[in-house]
Amino acid sequence: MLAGGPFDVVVCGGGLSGLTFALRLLRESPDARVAIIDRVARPLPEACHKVGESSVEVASHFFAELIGLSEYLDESHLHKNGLRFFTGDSQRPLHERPEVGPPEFPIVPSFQLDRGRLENDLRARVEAAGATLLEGRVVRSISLGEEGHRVELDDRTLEARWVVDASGRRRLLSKQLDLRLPSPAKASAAWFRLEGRIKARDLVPESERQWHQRDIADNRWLSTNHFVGRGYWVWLIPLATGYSSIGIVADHEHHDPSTFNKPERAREWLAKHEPLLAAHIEERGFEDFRVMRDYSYLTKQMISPDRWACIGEASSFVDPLYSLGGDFLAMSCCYTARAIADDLAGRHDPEIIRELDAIYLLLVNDSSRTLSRNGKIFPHGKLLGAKLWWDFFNYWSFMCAHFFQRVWLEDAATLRRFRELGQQFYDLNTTAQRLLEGWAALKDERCSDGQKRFVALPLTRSILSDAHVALAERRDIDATFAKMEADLILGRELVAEVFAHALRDLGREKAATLGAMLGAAIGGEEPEPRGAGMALSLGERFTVVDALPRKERLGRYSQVARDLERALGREDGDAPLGELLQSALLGAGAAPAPAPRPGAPVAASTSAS
Amino acid sequence: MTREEIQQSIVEILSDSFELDPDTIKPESTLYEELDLDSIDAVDIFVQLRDLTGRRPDPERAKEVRTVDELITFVEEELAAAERGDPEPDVQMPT
Repeated sequence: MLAGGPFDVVVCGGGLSGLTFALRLLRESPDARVAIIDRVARPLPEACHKVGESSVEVASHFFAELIGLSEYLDESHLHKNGLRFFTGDSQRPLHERPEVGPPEFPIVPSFQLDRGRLENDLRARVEAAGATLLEGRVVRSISLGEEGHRVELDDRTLEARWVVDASGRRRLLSKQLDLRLPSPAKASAAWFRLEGRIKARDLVPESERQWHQRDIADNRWLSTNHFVGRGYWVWLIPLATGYSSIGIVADHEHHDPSTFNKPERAREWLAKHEPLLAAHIEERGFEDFRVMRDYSYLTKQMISPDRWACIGEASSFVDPLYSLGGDFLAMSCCYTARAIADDLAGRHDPEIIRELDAIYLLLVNDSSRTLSRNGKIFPHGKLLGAKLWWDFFNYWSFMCAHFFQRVWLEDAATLRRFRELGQQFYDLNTTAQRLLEGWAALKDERCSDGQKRFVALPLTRSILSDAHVALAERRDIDATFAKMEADLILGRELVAEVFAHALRDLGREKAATLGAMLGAAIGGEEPEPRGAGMALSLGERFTVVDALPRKERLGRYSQVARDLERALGREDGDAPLGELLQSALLGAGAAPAPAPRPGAPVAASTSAS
Repeated sequence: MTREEIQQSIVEILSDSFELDPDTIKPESTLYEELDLDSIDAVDIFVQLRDLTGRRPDPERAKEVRTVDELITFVEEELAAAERGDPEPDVQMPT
């Protein structure tokens, strides 16, 4: 092909987003004329120092199922054993800290990626699929026009029907079009790699048999391990090339980034906050060291009917905590590939593109809400467990289901219907996050264990394990919608149950303060945000049922109530739950909780209408 | 682990998890009648026992356990199986 074009698509950037996008587009539209520009020519170093190793469900599904990398990932990268957290007092031995994580290897796979190895291999695959790779070249400017775009390189100019910005944090188009929005999260990160495997188990004496045997197949090391404390988390990730990646991520509210932005400072910081890990790596040299200050940013727009799109980090970057960077990369790649494939087939549809953009932004903003202002939650075992239960349920029930069930390939009306449902999940999540933050803000102590030494995530045979297993099942579009609607009701119950745990933990006096913080979200006939009224969900469950002896209580519990109690344990508040709820409602300035209706079902379905 | 140690651990698991008074948990207590546990409780018990035994239990054998005493024997046998390096039952736990 003539290397000056014209091309159907010019992709600015040949990193992970640009390459995987091209693979996806060429699957949907094999004859598409695609050019990819990248500054760096091959070979890339195998173990290059790109961050973003840990992938979760959406990204893994994209790589394995939607661009055909399943076998390759099985062979050349590590299968990941979910996300694992060590919380509580970080000055204590690791085996005494509460642990939240998977009890078994997850059924739906995810991977720990070696980015250098992956991108080398992807370049070869993209060329084999028919794309033109222009390496060692720099994009000088992009001019967007109504009748086609022009991308000027250092040695030539390319004409293109579509321009896809995959330039990562250089954000070529985003800067040009002023798309950046600030993120509510203000945090910085520093990370480095060490040679060899560093495993959480190395930090715990062999004599602690029960701790070691809890991880039945000795797979803790394949998790993304998080050591968390007030205002920070530290990741520990194994890589297939034999290195370990360690990173410090801290909220500016609690930690000045200048306390860990140099190798020696990072060691000092670790010695203070995670002394066990610091001591373990004391003798080992850092292979490299990087810092990213105030890393989070959002965007006004991801894709336009005017035939441009910003994918991966050229669009937004929320937060590394749940490894969602790859998920948003996957979604932006798939949505953009779908829009371009439609166009090349003569079906350019601005309405569909606007819907794809809207659902992308909704999910980015939702994740941003989930991942900001968590600093005070981290060091409390029960609170962190509750947050992870809700966040995972929310993630698997809507965002993952939307992606796995290919909702993004539907027509505009269907996309809108799902987006409106997504808005309800978003509203519920807003309530949930305010609840969790309020709970954390009212804790007297800086850290606490909760009732459980180990919070299973997901717990075997629970609403959470069901939500996870459901991802592997293929559904038609109506069944997908019905399942999400049912999950939204379960989600409301789950948030209400988290509220019950918060009330008991905080006691009567603070329940009133929590009520004042949450306001109308906990009660009233027309709860705001929409459908999130917790008191309504709780009526009889909080007043009558909660006071019953265990066996009778369980008999009248919903599955959600029971599962959360199994996961987090049950503690006695300083007053019966019904009284704690009244206290919260008074604090919120709301009417007292509705009197329980005799014979009404206990399951919290009243708020679902 | 001695039989007494196993019993102690089991009493701890049962009383911590299911709001039971440790004094009411006797070797002859039946799990599902006298202690009033149900099938979901059973799942949680056997998952927690893995910390003691280091093995995934065989669900068919677990189903046969009716009393605290049988539970102690079950753990003893699992520990012996772990010692011998017996293969685990081929059961995929739903996560």
